[in-house]
Amino acid sequence: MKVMFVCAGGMSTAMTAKKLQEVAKKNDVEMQVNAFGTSDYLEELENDNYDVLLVAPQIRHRFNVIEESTEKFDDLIVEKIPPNMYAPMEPIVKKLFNFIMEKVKK
Amino acid sequence: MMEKFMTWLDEKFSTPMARLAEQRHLRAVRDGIVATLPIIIVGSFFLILAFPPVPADTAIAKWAAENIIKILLPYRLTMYIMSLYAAWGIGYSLSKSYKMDGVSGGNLAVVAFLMTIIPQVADGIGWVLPMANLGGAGMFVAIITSIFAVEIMRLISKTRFRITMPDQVPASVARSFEALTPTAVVVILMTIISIVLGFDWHGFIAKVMAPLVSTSDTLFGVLFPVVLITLFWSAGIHGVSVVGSVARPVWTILLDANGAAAAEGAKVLPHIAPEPFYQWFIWIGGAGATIGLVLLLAFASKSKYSKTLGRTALAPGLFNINEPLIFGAPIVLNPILIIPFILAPVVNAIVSYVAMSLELVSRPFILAPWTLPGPIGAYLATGGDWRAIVLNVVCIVLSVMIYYPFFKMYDNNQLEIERSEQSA
Repeated sequence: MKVMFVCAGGMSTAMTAKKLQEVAKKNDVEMQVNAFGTSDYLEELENDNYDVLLVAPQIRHRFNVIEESTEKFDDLIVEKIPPNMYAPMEPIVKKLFNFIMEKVKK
Repeated sequence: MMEKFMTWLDEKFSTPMARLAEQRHLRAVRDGIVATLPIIIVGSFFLILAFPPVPADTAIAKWAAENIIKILLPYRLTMYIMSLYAAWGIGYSLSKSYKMDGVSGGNLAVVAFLMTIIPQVADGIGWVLPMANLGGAGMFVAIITSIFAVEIMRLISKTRFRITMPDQVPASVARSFEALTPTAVVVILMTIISIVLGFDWHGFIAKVMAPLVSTSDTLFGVLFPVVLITLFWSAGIHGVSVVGSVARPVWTILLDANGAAAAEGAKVLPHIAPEPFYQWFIWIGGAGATIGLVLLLAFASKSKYSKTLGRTALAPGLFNINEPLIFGAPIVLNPILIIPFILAPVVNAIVSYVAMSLELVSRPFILAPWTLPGPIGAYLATGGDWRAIVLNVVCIVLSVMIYYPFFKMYDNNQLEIERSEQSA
């Protein structure tokens, strides 16, 4: 599974992304997580196939614009990261991992 | 009472206000100006090279003084004319947001902006373009003309005056023909306004915007965005990104004016509060001046959770990234931690503002990358003033002191939770 995180510059999400990848591995789920900023996520989506796009809570006010911009990617799941699941620490990231798995199952 | 405030903060204030900043034109201005930041960062460093922070009798200082005109040329062609780059970026972003061709929109915005500046003939050189208004001084004109150009383009693309090409024509060729009518309309309109009617764009806009620009450099003009930004972050929304959409044009104007004054060799720069002032003397460790909190969590906490959080958030915190802290503690909608989160930056702002207005510390004119550790960034931003390091460290100490009592409450809460979990 390929997951993309989007935040303002792609820096803070990079840490949570790395942690999420570790948590997924521990749970025997193959998950590649990459972080991007709002200025380059679209280009990356065009170059590569992603299954899930997650918008960081601090830019949730841009969610509608981001969601609209990804309409052409049919199978892409676009979601907001809930604020209480966004910090690069194991118990918090575990919640995020469960959140993603639930969205993917649907 | 506190609960009510939290609900208000989340539902009534931050979310709707942040949505406002997502308005199409504001977004285009933000993206256009943000795209010029690398150009400004690199360009501004030639100002340090021109005035190296070493004693005047050293070889480097002498070399710089002799070659100052040449050393500053890269600065003149980058930061000094930043509005030209911003115009292209705004035109590009706005036309993209309308799903029109971005390159045509960017070019048309540059055409419209350049047509506000009248070329002159210089002896022995030929035609020259006066550069002063291509920089920060022309920022508002660049914003207005870029939006104007793209809106004309959009209006025409909806009417039957649009030139369309048959499908066999390659896309790039078709695009340039489609841009023909809007270009003609923009050039003709701008000619009428700037040349036939002789309207002084830059003089007029500067007069209209002067109160806003000068207010932004007062202590109130600093505290207002500081409180707004921390309120946004208290609800978990990227405050600098939202407030910056509106404030960054003004901040860049102040920065450009300081850069230009420094290039002329001014000893005291005209403005205190361009964006680097916020970055290096207020937002140390990230918005909310959280450097104090992260140090306390990492080195003074008793509960397990605080310790883990502190260790996780310390390294990014040194480089001014504090989302792990904001969402991990969390500070978001946390009535205890929001208080120092707003108070610490306010105190830092007042102390630094006073220090700079008394000329105890040089004023910032260099845009250094925001992920540098505080003291280094402060040193570079002021063109190499060691007193800026002192001020930065003072602000860090203040941040630790202000966060301390609230950190104690937080840590004790965590301890209690951990104890009750153990006994349960």
